[in-house]
Amino acid sequence: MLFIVIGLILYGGVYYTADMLAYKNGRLNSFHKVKTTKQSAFDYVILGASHALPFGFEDMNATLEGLTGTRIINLAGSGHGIIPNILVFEYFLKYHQTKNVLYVLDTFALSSKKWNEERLEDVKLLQWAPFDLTLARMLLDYSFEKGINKKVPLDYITGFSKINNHSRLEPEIFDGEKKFGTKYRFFKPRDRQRIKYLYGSEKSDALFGTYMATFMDWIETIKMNNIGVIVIKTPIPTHIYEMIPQENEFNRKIQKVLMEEKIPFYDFSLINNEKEFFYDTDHLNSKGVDEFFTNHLKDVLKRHVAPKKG
Amino acid sequence: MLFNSLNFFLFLGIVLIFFYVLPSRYRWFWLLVASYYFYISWEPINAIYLIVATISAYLCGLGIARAGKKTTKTGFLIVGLFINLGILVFVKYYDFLAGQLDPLLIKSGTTTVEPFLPRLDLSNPVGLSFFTFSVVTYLVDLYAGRMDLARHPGKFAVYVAFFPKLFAGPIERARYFLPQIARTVRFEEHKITQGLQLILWGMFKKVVIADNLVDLVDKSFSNPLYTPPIALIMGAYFFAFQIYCDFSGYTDIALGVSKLFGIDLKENFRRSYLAVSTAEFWSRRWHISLGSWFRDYLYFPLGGSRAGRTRQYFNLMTVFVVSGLWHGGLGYGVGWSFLVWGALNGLYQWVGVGTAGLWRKAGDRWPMIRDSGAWHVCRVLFTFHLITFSWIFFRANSTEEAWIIIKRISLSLGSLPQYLPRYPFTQEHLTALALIVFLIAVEILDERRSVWEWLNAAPKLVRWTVYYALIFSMLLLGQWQATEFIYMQF
Repeated sequence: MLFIVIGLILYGGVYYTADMLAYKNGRLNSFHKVKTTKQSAFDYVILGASHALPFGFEDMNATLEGLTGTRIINLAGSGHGIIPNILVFEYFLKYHQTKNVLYVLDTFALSSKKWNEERLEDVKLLQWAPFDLTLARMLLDYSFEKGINKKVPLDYITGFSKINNHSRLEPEIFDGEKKFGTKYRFFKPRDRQRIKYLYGSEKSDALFGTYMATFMDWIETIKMNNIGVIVIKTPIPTHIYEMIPQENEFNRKIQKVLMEEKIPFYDFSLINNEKEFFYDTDHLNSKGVDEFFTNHLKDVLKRHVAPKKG
Repeated sequence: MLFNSLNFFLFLGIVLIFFYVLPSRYRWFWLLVASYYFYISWEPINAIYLIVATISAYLCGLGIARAGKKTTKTGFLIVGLFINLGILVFVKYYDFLAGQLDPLLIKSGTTTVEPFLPRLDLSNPVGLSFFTFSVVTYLVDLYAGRMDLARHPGKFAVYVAFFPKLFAGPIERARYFLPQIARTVRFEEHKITQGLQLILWGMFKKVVIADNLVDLVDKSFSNPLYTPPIALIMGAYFFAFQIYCDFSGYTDIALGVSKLFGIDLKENFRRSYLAVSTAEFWSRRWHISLGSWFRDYLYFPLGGSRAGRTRQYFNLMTVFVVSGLWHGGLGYGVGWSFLVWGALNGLYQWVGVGTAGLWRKAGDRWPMIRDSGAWHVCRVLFTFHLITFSWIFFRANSTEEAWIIIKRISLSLGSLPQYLPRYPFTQEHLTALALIVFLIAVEILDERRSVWEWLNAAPKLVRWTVYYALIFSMLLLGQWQATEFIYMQF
């Protein structure tokens, strides 16, 4: 018994150290940002998957704030579909406020459980998330109500992923950020592999309907809280766009649904998409983001900064 | 459900509690339910193979035991072997052989259509080889009169499907296993402790050592033409330890879990890389249950070493080529490199048998050298390098790539001292090296005196310090993304 108590004490010590390291070295993780950001009010929260991440690489967020005169927090996450984004945003609202949400939408996020319910099972998501009772409770609720694996709250509460984080001693970095200043050399077999990884070989109409409905319900809820929503699609190279299964068809569907609900939707898929603007198959590099901010996104954000009442 | 997953430990806890709560006579049934649940949790449809193997072997066993005439007995044996080995061969090799035959058929003008032979895309039923080998041992031993008929179909089904050994062995003999199922198991603290110790050590080997080597090995073998020779050399060494820790880790966990249920499974690994010859490696230290299976059910029936020297060479090569073929088909892709791997190990045995007399004479002439520690170390290192060399064929994506690796390594050996200091070693390399050194140190100590015996005799404080050191190193350094065990693929 004595040795079990000693073991628990040791575990507590390791847990505390791991949590402190997550506080210190976490940087891009959405939960970490929510918990550690001191500022409480924002004009825009950026949500979405990895295509929105370059907007926060290096000093890009400050650049965008400078260009638009707004306060912005980027809470996008790699592979985040609708469900992870909703969770992150609900968590954000526990501590902060925003006037608008800029949602960077990808059709893959509407096509698979892998990028939604199952996405939260990725240990990388919790590795940099400092312990917070509020988040623990939310994860528990999600596991009972939204079909998230029970291992997710268990992992978070026991701190397992944080303790097991092999990069614990270095500042958190997204692999793509290391290549942010580079230009990608496109190579069709590799490009196809990437598209297959993200989108699979076919999109499911049924799942699309489910996630789109979840997305619209969520938009409805936040609109009731007087928060504006703008949906955009980020640029991707034309040949990559053409590789994505049913992309045109699903874009039209998205546009139709959003138009019906009067949600501003800007499809930049085939705009600002020169090949030199990408550091890999589908993510904008620093030059691409610069151009995109100056020529496109700046105006969109300025236009919508004050949400319509109601 | 993998051994290195949370689900498995929850499952194990529940199974264990009910096992000891239930009256003794119902326990076999509980183990059967648990084993099938364990198997179905992986891929439900594949349970059909398990059921077919069990029923066919049980019925053929009944036939063998009850048949009056020798020819009838033989008939039942052949039917049992044909069904089970037939399924194994068909599932493992059909698509591969169809792929190899199509170009030949086109060349011969039989067809112009490709693919001509239909592809079945059969998934590899996990553990198929292992439960097939188990039922083969039962049928052959029963036929040879080495064991009595398994009368209880339920207990026989437990023998085939017992979950700790189901995915990757050890390949148990029915004559040792079935009596253990029949007797009453009492909750014995020392057995539980032994079981937990084995599970702990097996988990450490798997999640801390083997899985931390995966990336380094994969990087080296993924594109050998463009990988620096130093990385190729490290990849070969790291793979030797990855496969050892992965497979022996699995076996330790299997043995440990079995002990919790009062069942002793066969020792399958015995400090493999401390072997002084490749013959010792294959017969007494590496995958012992498979080695002895091939010995008893292939090498001996072929005549073993009693049918003359030439026949012995043939038999040895046959065993290793068949072993190579068994590893091929599925697993690390389909290819002929496993055949080369098997033949190479067969060749090692030829050289070993052929030069045995020479070594004996030399040893008698220079006993001081033969009995010296330095000579022993040289033999261990030489054997290790022979085995590591053969692993290159095992791990490479194709025979061509294996040759590329060997060629690039051999051409670079001269310039190695020059490049070594400039190679960008990372933290991962150092961690891997430290873990391997630690493993070797433990195995050397264990070779002299069982580490577990030493530990169990040590004061409580020392024991718990060791336990916590292993547990916390697993928590801090382990790779827990539940990667499969390598041998589950075969």
